[in-house]
Amino acid sequence: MPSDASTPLSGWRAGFRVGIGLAIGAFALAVSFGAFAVTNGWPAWLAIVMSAVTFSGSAQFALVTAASGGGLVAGIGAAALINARFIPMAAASARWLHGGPVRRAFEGQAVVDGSWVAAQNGDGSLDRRKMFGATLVQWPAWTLGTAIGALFAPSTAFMRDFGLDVIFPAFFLVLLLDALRARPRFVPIALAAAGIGAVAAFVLPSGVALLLCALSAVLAAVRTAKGSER
Amino acid sequence: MTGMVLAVVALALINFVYKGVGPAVLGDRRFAPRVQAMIDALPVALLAGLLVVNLLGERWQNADVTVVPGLAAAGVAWWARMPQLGCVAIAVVVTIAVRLL
Repeated sequence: MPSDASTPLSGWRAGFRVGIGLAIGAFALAVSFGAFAVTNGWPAWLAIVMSAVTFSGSAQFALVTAASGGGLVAGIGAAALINARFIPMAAASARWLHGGPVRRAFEGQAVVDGSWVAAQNGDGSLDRRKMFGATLVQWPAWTLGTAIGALFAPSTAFMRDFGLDVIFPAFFLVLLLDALRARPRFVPIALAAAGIGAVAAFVLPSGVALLLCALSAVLAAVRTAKGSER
Repeated sequence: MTGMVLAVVALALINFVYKGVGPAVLGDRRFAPRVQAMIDALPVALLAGLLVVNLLGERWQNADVTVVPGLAAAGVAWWARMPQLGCVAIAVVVTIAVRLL
């Protein structure tokens, strides 16, 4: 099984390439987060530190939103729930990471939505270098964007005016199409996830809705079970 | 203020544990075929979820039809085997154009 399909250089380079596109989206979102945090009473420096050490978009929005209502503990709870999707993502990456438990734990820190998805190979393996490269580009963009948003608090309308809000969805779409081209049998799973996501997003926080989308992967397990019974 | 700092520290620690525990504990263990099939399908499931949840937003407050032509254009560009960044750039340009109309 090709645990390292790429050469060291090509893996990192592919990661940087996809990371640049994701970083532009992350930057735009981070600017709005920085402005949002300061508007909600967070000191600019703490908003920037939060982005640097937690690097987790929707969970940060949730924490700031809850805290402005006086509920720091509830905010941490919501953020923890939203980020719980990182548990299965990192667990699924485990066998493609290198070294002993400590090194693997640190390598697992590169798991971020866009990077993790982009690093999936068509054969089901994960290109860890591609994931590292993509995350390495996005992290400074996220931190810098927060700093600019927190210090200058620009109008968030600029995201819409410059079409920046379409960057993330467009990237997710292209990555999804790539993934489905490699494995067309996952099309029903993607459709089920989209349906769950649409319904859940209406009533639940985004991160929780996302976690529920993962349930559609159970379809694959059911299919495998049926296949082995025959 | 102290509470805010503690909240940030807590979130950072929670994230570290979330992302570190699986890789540290599981190592290169192989899973049963059923579990493995589920793990293999996770990227597609989460990606479709990210796309929809990102587009609609909480309580669908981000729902915006002006992004649809842009995304459709990205899909066509992908079908024509354009590189990823090119597809995204086309989506942005088309979305801006639609909003200017």
